[in-house]
Amino acid sequence: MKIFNLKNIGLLVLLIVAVFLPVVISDYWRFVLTIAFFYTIMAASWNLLGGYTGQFSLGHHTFAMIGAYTSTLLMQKAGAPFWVSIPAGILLTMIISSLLGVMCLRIHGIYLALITWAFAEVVRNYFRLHYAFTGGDRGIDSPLIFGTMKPTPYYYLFLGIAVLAIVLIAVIMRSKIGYYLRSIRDDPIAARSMGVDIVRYKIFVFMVASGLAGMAGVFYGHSIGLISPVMGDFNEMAMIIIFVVIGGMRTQAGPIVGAISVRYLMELLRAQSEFRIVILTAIVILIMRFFNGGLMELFRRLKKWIRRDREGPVSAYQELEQKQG
Amino acid sequence: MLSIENVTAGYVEEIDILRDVSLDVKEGAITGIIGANGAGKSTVLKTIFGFLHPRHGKITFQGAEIQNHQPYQMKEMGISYMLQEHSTFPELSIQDNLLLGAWTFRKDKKQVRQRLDEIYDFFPVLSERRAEKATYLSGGLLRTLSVGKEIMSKPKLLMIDEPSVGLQPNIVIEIYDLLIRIAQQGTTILIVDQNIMKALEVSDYMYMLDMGQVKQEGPKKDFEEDIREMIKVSLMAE
Amino acid sequence: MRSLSSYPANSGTSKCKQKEDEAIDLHLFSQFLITGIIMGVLYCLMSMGINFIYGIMKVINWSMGEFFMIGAFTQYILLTFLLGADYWYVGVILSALVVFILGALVQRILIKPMFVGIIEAKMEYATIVTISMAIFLRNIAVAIGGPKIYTPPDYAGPTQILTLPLSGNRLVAFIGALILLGLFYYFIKKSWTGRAFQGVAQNRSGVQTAGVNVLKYDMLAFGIGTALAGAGGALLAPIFLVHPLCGLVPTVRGFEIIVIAGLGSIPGILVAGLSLGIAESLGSAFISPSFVDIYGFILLVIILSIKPYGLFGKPEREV
Repeated sequence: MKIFNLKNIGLLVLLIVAVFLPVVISDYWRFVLTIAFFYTIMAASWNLLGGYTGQFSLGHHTFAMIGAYTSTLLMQKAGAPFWVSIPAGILLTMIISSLLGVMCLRIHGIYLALITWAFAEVVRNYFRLHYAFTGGDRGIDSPLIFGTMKPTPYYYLFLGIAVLAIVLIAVIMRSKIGYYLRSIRDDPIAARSMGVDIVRYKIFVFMVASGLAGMAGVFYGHSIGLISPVMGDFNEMAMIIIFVVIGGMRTQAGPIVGAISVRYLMELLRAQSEFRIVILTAIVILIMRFFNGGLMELFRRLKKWIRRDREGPVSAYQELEQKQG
Repeated sequence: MLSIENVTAGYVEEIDILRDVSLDVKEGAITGIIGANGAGKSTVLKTIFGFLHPRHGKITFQGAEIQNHQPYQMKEMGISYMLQEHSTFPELSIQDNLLLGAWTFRKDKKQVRQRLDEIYDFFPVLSERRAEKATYLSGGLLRTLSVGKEIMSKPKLLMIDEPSVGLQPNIVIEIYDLLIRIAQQGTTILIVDQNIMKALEVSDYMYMLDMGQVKQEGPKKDFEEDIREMIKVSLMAE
Repeated sequence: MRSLSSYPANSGTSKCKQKEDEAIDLHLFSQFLITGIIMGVLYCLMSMGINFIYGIMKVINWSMGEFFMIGAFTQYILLTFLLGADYWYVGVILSALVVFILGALVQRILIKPMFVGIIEAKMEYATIVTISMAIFLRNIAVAIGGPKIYTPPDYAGPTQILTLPLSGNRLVAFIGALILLGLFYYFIKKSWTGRAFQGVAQNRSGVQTAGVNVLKYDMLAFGIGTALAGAGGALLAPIFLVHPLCGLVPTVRGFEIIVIAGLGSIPGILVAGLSLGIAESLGSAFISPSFVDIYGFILLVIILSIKPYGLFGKPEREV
């Protein structure tokens, strides 16, 4: 596959724009985008589970919380340095997710949603209630990586790990593994009969997705400076779903587009916090009911419509069709 | 009684299971449809009953066009449909299963009671075990229960999908005898079966389906003459 | 709740004191046990609704808590502006009716398309749509009613069971819930319509060959399920008070019960509901009230580690 095709050049342009954006925007918007990048990672990694392998997890946000708390607690209680606590946070997330994944192996569909929901609630309540260790509802202070409250370095940090996450997901989806994953989603029985080891791939994906969420959470904690069990609120999970649905569930770009555009929209409507949620959820319902592909589908159709006007028939067969039709 | 005219139907867009199928079910007779796996036999029944709506064509029952009706309307019109293997309610008692067969006339309590007694007379086994849950029944009994449930409403037309699948040969004989008894009481029967010999035995008129089209049709006599040919064709198709 | 240590020391022989402590222990224990049973039964209403809808449509309605909330609000409005405090039980029935109609409408518009071939990925659709609905309704409630808490009038004054003091509201809600659960059970098991519902849940094709209009029954089932939640909201209004987020805790409890009991079993829900209520109540009383949320989840984790599909749950048949 050629590396220098139109799409990749477009992505490169976007990246360059993102790199130079902080120059023209205020501190406030740099912060907003940093958070948007965080949610981009959460949305893209959840899409890996829900959109691509049909594993509808309702506990994704919990792994971000676990990562954040692990890293923070290691630093606060055990005096560990960043380069220990950060990988430890990611690692623990992956371990817990693999255990959960194994437990949920034979469970699918509705039961998976219920179990992951229960998992999310149990963990959230634990962080709330063991306040001696975790700080409870009040939360716990997290050491800042860059030692400063200025948003710029964190912007680049999150831009970096977001790009990392997106590239990782793209690599996986393009590889043999991605092919197997898609086959698992579309028809697990057929996939199994073709020799695809469903179990192994499902757990693998679960670990990767949760690891990415954990990574996002770890850095989130060390960027915001304060973490609390609110990270594990069901609302967070709902937001992730909203981003993915509005952006387009079965595409790689969908979650990214969804997360950033919706966060942007939410910032614009900051004053009316209920109103914006009402609008967003209504849009999600409408999309699910009438227009399943979200924004990416919209772009795709737009592209097709534009192309159809400009390009003539590509083959003699098409020409014949056009003449007859 | 029932007539299918030039029906084309399929489950998924762009893929037709039935292609321009026409067939007639004569009143009072037993009509059989045979053919290889995937030929579309079950699809014919599903389309008649409204689980599938044809893309082209017409289906008429006693003069009324029914191709766009919903399944639940069929029972009331007098068509009963015994599904392949999944006609009963596992967690309900035999009695409740039969009672649901009386759904269309449930308001007439006397008739329900009367019909239930008649069915129990017809099927003593069901009467004995009437309080048991259907899930505890053997394959043959379940099939019997299905029949009972479907004839509770004294249907004009009884459609049966593969009654012999998964049953021991001696039970298959029992089920077919049962069907003949029901036909003798005046019910028109349309039966779909992979078991060519059995179908041939009971049917008055037969259709052979292949790849969604009617390849052959005729009275039992004609089919008997070509039976070797038919078996060869269907064996090769499988 | 007073802890045991705050009871005044008694003069007299140690044996006498021991007996008295035991009597106090038993007294307190019974009181909390009863509270637990009451709350357990009340949460069961929610779970019954969730389970019923799942049984008929294989869909989990994540917005049940919001129908609970709508029921509570409707009850408050009815009592405050129309019926007055004395006819609260009429209010419960009317609130349930309102929620029934709303639920049926929602089903017709949003859920029915799943069953007429319009929607492809069904479980995904149902989960996303019902979760979105939950948040939508919650925020609309805040937008309309403001983040205020409304207090409906008491249904009954404080009473006693034997010598145990009991909130009149709780007792009345308990009895109401028992009546509703009993009616529901009777309806499902003994009536023709109930039989049809069982049929739909057990064999969707087979019930259509019997002449049952499944799409209509889907709608009714959703309406009934949400009405149960709405009735719960109306009954619990003076206890939990009426505010946009009053459905959150019942939702969590409702789903906890479902996970513990497993989908598909009505007696399982009662057992799980009672266990949850009792665990919660005794835990709050004898360990600590501030951790009230955790006791149910401890029970949940224990049960799941032994039986991953719940106490009475059956693994979903792979279609």
